[in-house]
Amino acid sequence: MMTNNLYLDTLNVHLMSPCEPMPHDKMDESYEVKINSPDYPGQGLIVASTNWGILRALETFSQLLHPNSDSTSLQVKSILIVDYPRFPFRSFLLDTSRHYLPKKIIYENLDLMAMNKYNIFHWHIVDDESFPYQSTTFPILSEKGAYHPYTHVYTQEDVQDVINYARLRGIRVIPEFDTPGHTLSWVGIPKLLTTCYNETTGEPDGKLGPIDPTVPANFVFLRKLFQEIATVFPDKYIHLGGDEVDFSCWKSNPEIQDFMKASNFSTDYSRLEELYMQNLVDEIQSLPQNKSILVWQEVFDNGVEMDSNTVIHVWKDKESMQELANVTAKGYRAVFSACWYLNIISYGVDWVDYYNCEPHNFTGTARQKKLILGGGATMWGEYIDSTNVISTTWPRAAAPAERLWSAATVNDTEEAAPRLEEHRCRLLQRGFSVSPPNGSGYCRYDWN
Amino acid sequence: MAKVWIIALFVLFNLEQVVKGYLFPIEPRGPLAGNQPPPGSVWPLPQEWHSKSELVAIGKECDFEYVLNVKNCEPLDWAVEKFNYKFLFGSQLVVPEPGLPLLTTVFVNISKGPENLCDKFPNFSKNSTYESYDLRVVAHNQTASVVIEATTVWGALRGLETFTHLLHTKNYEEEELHYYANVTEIKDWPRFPHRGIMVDTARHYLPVSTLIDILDAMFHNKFNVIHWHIVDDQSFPFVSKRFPDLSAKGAYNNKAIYSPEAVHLIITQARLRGIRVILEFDTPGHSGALGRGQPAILTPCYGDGETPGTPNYPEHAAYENVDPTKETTYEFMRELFTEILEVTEDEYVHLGMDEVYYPCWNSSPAIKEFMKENGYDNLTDVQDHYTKRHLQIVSDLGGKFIIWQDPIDAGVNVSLRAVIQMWKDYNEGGWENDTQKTLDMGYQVLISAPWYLNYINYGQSWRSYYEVDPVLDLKHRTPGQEDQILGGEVCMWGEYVDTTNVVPRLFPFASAVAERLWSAANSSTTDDAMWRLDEFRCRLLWRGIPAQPILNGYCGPWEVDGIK
Repeated sequence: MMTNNLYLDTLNVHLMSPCEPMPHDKMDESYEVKINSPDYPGQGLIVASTNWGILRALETFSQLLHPNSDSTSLQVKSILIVDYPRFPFRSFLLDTSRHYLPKKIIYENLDLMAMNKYNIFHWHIVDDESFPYQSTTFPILSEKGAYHPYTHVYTQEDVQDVINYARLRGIRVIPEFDTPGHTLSWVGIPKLLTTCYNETTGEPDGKLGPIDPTVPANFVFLRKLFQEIATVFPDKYIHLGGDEVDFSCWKSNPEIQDFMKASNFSTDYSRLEELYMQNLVDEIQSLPQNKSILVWQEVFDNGVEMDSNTVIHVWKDKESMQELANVTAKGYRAVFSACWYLNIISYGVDWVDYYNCEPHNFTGTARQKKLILGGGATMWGEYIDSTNVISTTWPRAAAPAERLWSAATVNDTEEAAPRLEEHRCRLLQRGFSVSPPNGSGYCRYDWN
Repeated sequence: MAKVWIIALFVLFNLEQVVKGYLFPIEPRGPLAGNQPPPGSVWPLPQEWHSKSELVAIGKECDFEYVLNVKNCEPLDWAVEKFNYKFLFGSQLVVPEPGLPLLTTVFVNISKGPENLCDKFPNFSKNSTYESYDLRVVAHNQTASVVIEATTVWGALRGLETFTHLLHTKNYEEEELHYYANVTEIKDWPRFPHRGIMVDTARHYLPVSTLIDILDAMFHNKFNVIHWHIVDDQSFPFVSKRFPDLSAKGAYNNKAIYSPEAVHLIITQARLRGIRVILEFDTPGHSGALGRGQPAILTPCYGDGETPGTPNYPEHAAYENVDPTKETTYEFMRELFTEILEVTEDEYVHLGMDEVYYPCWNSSPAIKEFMKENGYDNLTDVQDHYTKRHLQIVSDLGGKFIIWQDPIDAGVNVSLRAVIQMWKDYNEGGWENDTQKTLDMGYQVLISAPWYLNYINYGQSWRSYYEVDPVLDLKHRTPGQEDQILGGEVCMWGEYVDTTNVVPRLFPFASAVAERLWSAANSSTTDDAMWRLDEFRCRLLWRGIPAQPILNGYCGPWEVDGIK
């Protein structure tokens, strides 16, 4: 029936339902690829319920092509693939505050994410060091907070460009505006940040601290800002941060001390933090856009009462599995990043550790395991900018990508190593500066 | 006119945030440590540097020129062409700040006779004037000039590089930029004569263009040696005319090679930058790829106990280590090294000699027979035999050699003419102890052990590289032994490194080593150096070299559009 000289000259693409314009948290990414399969002999077909599945299928198909031995033609095996992601939440974090990343670098990263089937760009857009987001409601934030108010900012147009670039690749953009800590660059708003006091002299010591939760005007500001953010970023989810709040500045401030007394919080500043998060979450949830919320694990750890739809982002490496158990035991959904801090570089074949990290490796019921939506790899920016972000991130980020997409049983690093090597060479051939992950060697294609 | 002066003075006194790099601390709980230097700081720190607050201004392109006292000095001509106006100031309009002396001329004066070395390739020299220079920025009323004086062209190159660090600007926003230099006097020379970077093109091939990029970055750091670890177990990209099979069978593929023209290009490009090229052909270990192209050069191992050329993993492969028992081995080496010594322009060649693993030789009855014939009791004697013969061959051919420390550790009797490169950090007492022992035996040494920049880790690793001192860390050294320490080399082994990541991985961390090897000992705290390193990193970025960041921050509005 089948001859040796079978040519595939058409790839049929069947989309089974109307095109969805925006990727979303419930999107169906499943697909089938059939090349000369028994039910589809001599032909090529990709079929998916949604256009997102088609995108994933096309990426897969592109990876099936390989050159013959003398590189005169491309070949593809007869194959039948049925594929779908194990986890629906597969994110990659870029930090554009510690170092500004130009849009074209963000685009490159989105391309590489798509080639690895990541579906969420977690945009940690502002932090202590700089505020590059150009707000229309509060332009002073980037005027005073960006590294440079004209060149090191993301204009509204830039933001929409990124969202659209991601959208076309089936990637959601979840922005993170981290508060109340990690906000030193928000100096543009007067009285937003806490004035720290020198305990000996009783005078302000010149430093600023986290957002001051005792000033009602601050919540008016936050509401207005998040109203804008909720409109600018179309995804259902917003990440509110909430990590690493240093209490020392609050403790030093006499007005806050008075507030603590008046509220009967005594000296338990985690209650003040809880009050902040509560108020913030209330503001967000009363916005018309009906956003869902992600927070870092501290918000859960510090006992803040949150809507059961809130997703907890587990990031601390110490006892991270126990944390997943605790979070899901309380009925919250979780996403996991603790073992995937790719910015923590080390010598050698470190992708193996990322590959071996299993988000279900905690003691819990099947019900609890279902509450793990997935996870994300992070590339924090302290030592990372456009000179090294692509080569440091890739192909190491391919390891969490497979852990989050493929079946849990696909966990043999020895089997994966040559596949990762081939994948790296493929990405290199596509023009991306992707480092060598496995040691000495070379890729089989023309040097320029 | 007076108003302009007052404004100029006002602006001059508000120079706080004018450095080319902007650093922010990690988790800003307090200000960054260290003292921020004034803008226009030099890396590596010059030996003697007196800078005044008086400024001179740079004018338009037509008002700026280099004047060389010696014509047709090729490296000098190359350098002033490289440091042309556009390279230094970009394409924005530079307007001299009114009222300041206008810097119009950079005079470069070297010896007029053959001692200027213009026609030579750089070589090893302990002579204090080999790379030394004087630099003055002087103002005379309305004009100013720079005078760089050096005996040799290499000193002039170092002086020119320093000059380019003195240029600074305040504000990239303006339509018309003002560029300045401070009135300055510098006397400078390197603390160590051998300041190198080792690149490995065997584990991963590095295209010629990448090697040139590395040479450029090295040049800006005043590195003067590139130690080219060109072949190893994994591949043999060096194209030998006498033995074409070596690369034909030993290279990764037919594109991953260095033709004789390519090698010559690297050597001549390095010369223009005052950089020596030391080729390393590592034997008797690390020779797997050599074995692919030269039959019978490697020792057959007896993995199964009886058949030659059988492996016994993980103890040994089927063939390992150059075969010391055969005369054909030494004939081959003589021919190969005749060619290598023709190719290289340096007096020195690196002969490797590291990690000679014994299990293969141990398995071989032929080796046992060889030992019996020669009255050798153990395998160290076999290694000794090869080492001695090989060094003799190279010495007879007129080559001087550097070897890794391993033969010394194994008790092999190596001629004191060899320079020993210290790379191990895992013996008791660390590299300091190994080095002390080697010095006590009378050898000259190069330090690499604390500077394995391929061993990446998270954070500000450059600090630990900066805080190594190749002399002061040897607490038990005796007077005079300091002279035996010729310098050191950054090692960038290539297992996880190729053209996609080698330059950011090397720079600016290697710059920490560059300063340690050039500048006077203890001439800066690490915290103070951090600010200068950041400014220098931004300068490299401006020049198109993707040096990675050392902390949070940014370099300037120009960095967003990509490097120039």
